[in-house]
Amino acid sequence: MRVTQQMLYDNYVRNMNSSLGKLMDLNSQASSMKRINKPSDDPSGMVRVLNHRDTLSAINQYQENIDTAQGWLNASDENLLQVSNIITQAKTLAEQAATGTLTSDNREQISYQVRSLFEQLIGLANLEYDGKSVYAGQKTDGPAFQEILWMSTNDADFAADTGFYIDGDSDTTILIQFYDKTGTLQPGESMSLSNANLGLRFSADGGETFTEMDVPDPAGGQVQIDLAGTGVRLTLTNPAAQVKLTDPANYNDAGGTWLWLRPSAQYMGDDSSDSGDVEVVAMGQGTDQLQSWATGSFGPNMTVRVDGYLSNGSLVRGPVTMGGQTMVYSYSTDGGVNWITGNVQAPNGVASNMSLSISGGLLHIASNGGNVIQAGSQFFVHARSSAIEIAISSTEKVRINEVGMDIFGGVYQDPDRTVDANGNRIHLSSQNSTVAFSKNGSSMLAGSNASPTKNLLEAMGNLIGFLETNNQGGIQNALASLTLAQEHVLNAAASVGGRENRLEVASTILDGLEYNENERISSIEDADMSELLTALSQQEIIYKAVLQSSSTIMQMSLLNYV
Amino acid sequence: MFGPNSILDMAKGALLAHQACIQVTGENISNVDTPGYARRAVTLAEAGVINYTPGQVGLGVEATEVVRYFDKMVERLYYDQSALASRWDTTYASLSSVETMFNESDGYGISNSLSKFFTAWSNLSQSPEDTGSRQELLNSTDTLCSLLKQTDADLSKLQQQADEEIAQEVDSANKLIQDIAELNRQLNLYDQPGSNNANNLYDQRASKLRSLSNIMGINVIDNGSGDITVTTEGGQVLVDGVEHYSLEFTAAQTRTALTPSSNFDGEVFFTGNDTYEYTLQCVNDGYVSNGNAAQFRVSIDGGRTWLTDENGQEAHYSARPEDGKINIGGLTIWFGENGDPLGTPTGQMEEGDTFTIIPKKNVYWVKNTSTKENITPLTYANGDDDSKRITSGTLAGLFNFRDNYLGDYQDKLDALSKSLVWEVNRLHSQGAGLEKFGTTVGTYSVAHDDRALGEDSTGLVYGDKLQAGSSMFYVYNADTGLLVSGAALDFSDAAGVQNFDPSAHSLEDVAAAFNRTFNGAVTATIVNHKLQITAEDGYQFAFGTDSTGLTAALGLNTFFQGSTAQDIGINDKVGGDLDFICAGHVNGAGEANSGDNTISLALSELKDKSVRLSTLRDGVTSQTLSGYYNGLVGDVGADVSAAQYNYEFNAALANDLDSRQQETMGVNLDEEMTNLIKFQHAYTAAAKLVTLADEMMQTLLSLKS
Repeated sequence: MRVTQQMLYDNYVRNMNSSLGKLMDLNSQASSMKRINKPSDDPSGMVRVLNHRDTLSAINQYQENIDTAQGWLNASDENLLQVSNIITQAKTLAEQAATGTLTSDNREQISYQVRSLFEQLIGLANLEYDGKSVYAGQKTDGPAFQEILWMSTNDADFAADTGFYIDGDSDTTILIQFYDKTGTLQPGESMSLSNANLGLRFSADGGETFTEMDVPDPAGGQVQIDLAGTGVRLTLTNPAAQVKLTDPANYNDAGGTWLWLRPSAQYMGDDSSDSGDVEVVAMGQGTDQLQSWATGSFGPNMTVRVDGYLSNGSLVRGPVTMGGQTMVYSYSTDGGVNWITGNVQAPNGVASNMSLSISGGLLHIASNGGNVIQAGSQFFVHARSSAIEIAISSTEKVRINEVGMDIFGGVYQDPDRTVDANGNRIHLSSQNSTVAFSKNGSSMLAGSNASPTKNLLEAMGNLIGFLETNNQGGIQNALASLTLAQEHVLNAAASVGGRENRLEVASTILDGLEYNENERISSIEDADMSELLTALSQQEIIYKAVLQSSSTIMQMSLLNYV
Repeated sequence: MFGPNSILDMAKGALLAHQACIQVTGENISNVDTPGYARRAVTLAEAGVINYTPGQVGLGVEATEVVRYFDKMVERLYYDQSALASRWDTTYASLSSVETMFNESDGYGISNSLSKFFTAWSNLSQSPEDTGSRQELLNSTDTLCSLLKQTDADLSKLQQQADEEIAQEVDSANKLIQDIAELNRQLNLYDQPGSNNANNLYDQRASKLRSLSNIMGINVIDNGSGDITVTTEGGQVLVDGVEHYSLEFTAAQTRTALTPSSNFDGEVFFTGNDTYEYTLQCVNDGYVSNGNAAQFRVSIDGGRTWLTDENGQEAHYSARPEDGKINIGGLTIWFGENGDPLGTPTGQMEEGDTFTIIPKKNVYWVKNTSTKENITPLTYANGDDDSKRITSGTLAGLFNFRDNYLGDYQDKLDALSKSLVWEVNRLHSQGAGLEKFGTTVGTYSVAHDDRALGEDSTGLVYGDKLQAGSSMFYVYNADTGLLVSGAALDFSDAAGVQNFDPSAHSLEDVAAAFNRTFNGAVTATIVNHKLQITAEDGYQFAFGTDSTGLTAALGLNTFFQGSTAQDIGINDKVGGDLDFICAGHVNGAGEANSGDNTISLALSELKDKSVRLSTLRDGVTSQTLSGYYNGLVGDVGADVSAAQYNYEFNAALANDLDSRQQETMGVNLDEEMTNLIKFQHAYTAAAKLVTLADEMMQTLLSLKS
């Protein structure tokens, strides 16, 4: 084989370049301590590294989220224990006041303490963490509870007959009694509010002094009673309601209808309609002939779509008759981006309504003029939401706030009835509000038939009312309610505690996952130090050898000898 | 006859012959480093014989010809191999600069900023009303958008550079072709094999052929007596003796190839650009119209495979005139009359009529002014190269780089951007921010206000994602903030709420639906082909659940605007006021509360959701957004790695062949030195012979006197 000059020099240059190139590669690995310095070093390894890095950053974010969640839940936990302490103090005071040996002055003294405990409770219920109300549902920008005046009565019939609302405010409980101005009717008998002979007397100092006045004439379908000198105006909405009369001479006659205007709290926050009917908006041709509602607990963008009916096992996209055909429908939890199709509902033989099973609950459709549902009709389940949830892993979310009404009670104005037809705000009244935990919807303790309630703030308000008006029976009822309320608050605290435990566990798991991810990334990406240094010194030797041998050959030539 | 004169003659012949030998050896030594120099040698032969007594007598030595050492067979093999090595060298070098754009080994890049984008939403879900978190989200989004834009712009720049380099290479190739033809002509004139070998011209031609082969890969056919025909590997003739043809690098064009029975009088027009060659073939006879029209299928690899739609069926498109033009890939396509893009052809398109659209600059082989053949490299879907076109050389490397690699990466970046924008907007447009709207304008426009939004020719970017259903809309009292009414949009005057139908309702219908459902509270108008919604005095509005995708497709209450890697950005409304970032939604009580974080939770969960991403070449895949981009990085890395491997492999083979050629034609100084000594001795000996003959003559002459 002939060897020529150009071949020789080409060879030298090529070999030197190639071993120098390898040396440079190793050098850059050594300076970055990574095996993969660009995607072409290991393409599939690079993809895995990037994917692991994504996971790692997600894990870090979850850890931050858990931190925040722990802050909220810890604050809530401590707070609820504090609330329980206050309830204990209130119970002690109530027990004291319930004994028969106390005078009205004693009860008055206790009432000041209980009023102060009530204010503390409202303060605790308006707990803020990080500038946001913890117990107001999603309305975190305002306080959860507001102090208001509310009414209790000992007359169950009167409570059922009329509604009321209260304007103004008072520092002390106001006691109202009714009597016959003419003195003809006996105490205990009934007289209608619109009766011109009905007189009223009220006391703002616990029953020591009473002011007498006439019951105003009904105006605009209501009876508006301005209690002069107190700053409070009571409006009763049914002028035909009957009140029982008290003995004009006896201020302690319990046979008549007594009204206590005493403090309570209105819940200003958010609720979720887990326990009631969820509003459903129907969209599509023919849906005006149907009625629809849902029950259950749903996410924000729940949509249901009717596809058609099953005929001989295959889908026909046509109108579905309720009760006669098997309906095929789909639903989506993200507003229509992804549909879960192929759900069927067999006919139940009833032609006027049907219920469809969807994620989170049931959708009910009833006939309202027609019972045919067109294919393509859609139903949007518009659920209320109050929970603030934080993601602590890719599959888990934890709620960090509470619905204050469910823990502390209070009075809640129905959000569907806060605005009238002209867009003006409707005043809080007994007809557009519910009292938490109460079954009949109104908040009146009807004498010896009053049953204890878990509604803490209402119970405290009643307690204040009865203490300030020296009513031993009422105080005993309030005491029973306080016991129930305290249990309820401790249950809520336990639920918070349970979530805190979940966070602990999740945090530990995330630590483990983070460690694992870091290890994985390192094993793919990092250069093995000992291997690297060995290769580096090896390559150095190779390069030196190439240089040496090339220079040796280059120097030899026939010209040296001729 | 013998005698001093004949000896003198013989010596003179020897001297001259060996002078020639030394001359040629000297030339070899001088040209030891000249690239492309083939060593020469003198052929010595006996200079004849005379039949005489005492026997046959030679007349000395004669230098008959100067031959050149050259291995034609190895050279032929070398052309092929070096063309391949050049192709991969160019590909590898170009791809290395692309790799730096996608290199995230130090932790910064698009993958990282996508990650940060999703964690910013998760952060926002912790405290939705916090201005700091909102600002952080905007900053992360800004970074992501500008990175996407930057990378896309860089890729485009590289494409332009590739175009410039190709233009230069085509120029060089044309020059070389001319030179080779000229050399052929000179060889015809001067080369007389056996007596006057035009060795220098052969060397020049060989070196020019090597350069040409590096540019585009050639086949050389020896026609004997020094004449050669040079063709491309696909068979197109470049040089034939003294005739030569040329290459041309020209701008985008379209071609029409009608079947013999067709009398179609139109051609295809397009706007936009793309890196694929589109071949359209008619499958159903018909006319060009906006209604029932001829149908055609599309191929991006010259007709081997046809594009399929989302369900895997062959995709058929309708042949539309200019005002109904449709979008396929990166182009907008329509049919017009021959020479008149706005006219409508009257003839019928027959099944089999083929139209080709070449939307990028291509290289053509020019036979004469009316015959041009497209020889730009084309790769089929299975990776094979079209063998009738250029398949190796720098040109193949550059075209491959520009069309296949860069085009592929840009397509994938565009697919990523399109899906990212749609998925985020789809969820975001169903939410509500801290502030309600007084007025808003959509960010996406249509080309025709009165065409159904779901149709291709309407020009709505996300029109194909619209579904039937309806959209909730809420109107509020601006002073009190309380809900006035919330309802689903009603699309017709008929009883009940009529749903939206993307194949029937147009932008005008949508505006009418707003005006009908919320008469007196909001007014919807169409401004600049975009939907604008303005609230009347005293009202504000917010958007709710949308099962159609209308709000996202029209750009109302969206987070992103734009739809490709070039124009992705933050919606101007959101960028101008942080309160319009929707972290929450309008809940069942009709309120949008400040602590509501449901939408931000859903958006942060988007990072784990599989979404649909589609490109023309790879069809539709379902992956997470981060997974898709990370896959793209892997693609780039694998391409670079494969190019490097191919380059090193082919370069090694090319070097090997070159060495073998060098073995034959290279100069070895030691050998030449030895020859020099040999010839010098022979020259000295011949000189001695002259002296001897001279002495003999002297002796004879001195006999007389």
